[in-house]
Amino acid sequence: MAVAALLLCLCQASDWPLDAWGAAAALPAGLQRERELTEIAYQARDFEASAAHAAAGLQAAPQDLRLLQLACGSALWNTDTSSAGSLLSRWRAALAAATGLDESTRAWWQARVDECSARLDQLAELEQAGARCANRARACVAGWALALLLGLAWCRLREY
Amino acid sequence: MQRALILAAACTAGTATMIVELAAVRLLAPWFGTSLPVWTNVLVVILLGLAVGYALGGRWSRGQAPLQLSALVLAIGAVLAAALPWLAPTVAGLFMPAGATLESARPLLTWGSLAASLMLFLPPAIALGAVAPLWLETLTRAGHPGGSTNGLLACVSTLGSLVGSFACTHWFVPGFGLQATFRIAGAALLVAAGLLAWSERRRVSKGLVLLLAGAAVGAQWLEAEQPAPARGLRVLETRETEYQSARIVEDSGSGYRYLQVNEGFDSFQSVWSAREGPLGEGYYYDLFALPSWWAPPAAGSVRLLVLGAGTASAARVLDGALPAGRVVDATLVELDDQVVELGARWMDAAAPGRRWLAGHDARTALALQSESYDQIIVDAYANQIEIPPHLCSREFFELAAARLVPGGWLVLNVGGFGFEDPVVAAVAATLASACGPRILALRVPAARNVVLLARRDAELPLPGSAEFRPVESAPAELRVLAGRLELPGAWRLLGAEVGPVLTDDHNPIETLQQLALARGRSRLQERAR
Repeated sequence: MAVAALLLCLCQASDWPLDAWGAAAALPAGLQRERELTEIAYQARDFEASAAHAAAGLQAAPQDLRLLQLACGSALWNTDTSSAGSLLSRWRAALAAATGLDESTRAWWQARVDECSARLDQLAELEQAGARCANRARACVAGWALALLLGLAWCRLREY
Repeated sequence: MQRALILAAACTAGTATMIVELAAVRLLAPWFGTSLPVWTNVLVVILLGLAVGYALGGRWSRGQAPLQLSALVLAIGAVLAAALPWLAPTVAGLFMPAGATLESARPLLTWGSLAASLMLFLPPAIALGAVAPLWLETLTRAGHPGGSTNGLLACVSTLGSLVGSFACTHWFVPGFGLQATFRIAGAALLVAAGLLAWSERRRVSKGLVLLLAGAAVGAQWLEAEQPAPARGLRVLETRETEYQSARIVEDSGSGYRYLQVNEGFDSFQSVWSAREGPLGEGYYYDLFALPSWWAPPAAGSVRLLVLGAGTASAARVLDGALPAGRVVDATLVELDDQVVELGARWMDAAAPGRRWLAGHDARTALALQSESYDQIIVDAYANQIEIPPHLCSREFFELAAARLVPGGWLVLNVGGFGFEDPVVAAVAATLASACGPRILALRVPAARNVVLLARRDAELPLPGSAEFRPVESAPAELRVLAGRLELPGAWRLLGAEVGPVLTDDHNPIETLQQLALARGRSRLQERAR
């Protein structure tokens, strides 16, 4: 519950995130700085920035559940299904390996993972459907071109 | 008598060809839009079909009964044309998945629309092309001189095309809708085929034409399906206007209403909320209200001109988001007057304090304005994704700046993937060249839009400065929005050096748009690697 309360607190964005951004940017380079910048960028809906800072933070703390959540969420907002897929796998593994989480906190995290997973499935399905349509379209155009060429050749042959 | 019938049939075929050609783009629009590549593909396919048809007709004209054959081919063309609205959803659905996003749909706009055009429009175009040589042969065999007969046939056919062009755009589609337009074309062709067959007095020919007539009558009963709205949205009204297929949909959860035109993509042209004022996260309209808090006009009303007003979303946001005691005095320009009618019915577009210039082109309307404005908003799009070239040239921005009071704002919405997006960079450079030296570019949080702001003869408020932050009495949504816009990644000051300056003489905005979509997609692929 303590983690949930902390997350709730973090989710309440200030009206003026630039002030918080300035303070975070002044921190020495490291995990804490990247975590704070990721949070601020995510709450301000700057998902390119939050993805970049989360990636930097995950270099130092690859199992950080919150960073993995924000990185995955940012990738989904940016419709970057490939990165989101790999982050989701890491997030799921990190949750399974996490120790010291009580039952309700673990269930809360699992629900967040499942939400992201469902959204990713939707996006991936849409991408695959688009790829199938594109292949079908190219095949159709090639088929028509071939049919017209064969028709032309047949007409020429019948001339002689 | 036979000659007159053939000339009448040629005129009808010309009319039907143009109706099919012009309405074809509209038929594909709900899936592929009506951008330049789609138009090009449809035109290429129709021309290809006509060319193949001419060649086939030429070969078939060596047969014994070219007139009889022409009646049959014309009847086939009639049935195919009448059935197009019914076939289109199935065929287009093969090449465009439901719910596609703009990035994922990009390659399909070209290949998908080409494939769908080939499947749908090539067969009727071949039929309509094949009849001309058969008629020429018939008349030549009857003793009419070839050269003058050919000229006469081409003349009446082209005149028919001329009539078809006007009737399709100005009468049939807006008056009767797309399905009826194709049925009218099919019915006219069928009547012409029937008359030609009757004039031949051959039992077999009449039988075939009657059979096809039955099929055509059957086609009249087929109902075409439009793409379904996204889950949670219900359609309130649809209309075929002179310019586009338009519909109003309502989100059953939020109660928001959206104007959607043409597309099956994830976008909208106008938004309505029961409450006036800011719409919330992801809606660029809210940014239009910020200048009134940065530099409130001295007088009681904000004189606002919106070019590309849709159903007045921008004015509605400002109506509920101005400082106390100030009201909006809005002049709204929208090219499509039927969109305004839809807005008046479902989205309070005709609320008091709004002067509509419906049916007017934005640039013409701007040129005719004698008043000066506190704020001019440019939110005009063609084909969902393209800013019309004449509304993003240096000359246009100079004209707009001249209609501003000193300290007045010129605000543009540009769809784009960030500040380096080729369209954003070019429009920003152009705006800066006309109203600069610097303009403020703000990336809309949680959206794929950038809002560009220029100011006449006054400083721009810099994000992070006290001037940029709306006072405490401002709507909370605007303060949150301004706060988000202050972050380093959310804004830039841009000058004329950031991209090509677009002019009336040279404005490759369509090419830049294609480049922007390609770049957006390749960025995703790079990230994936």
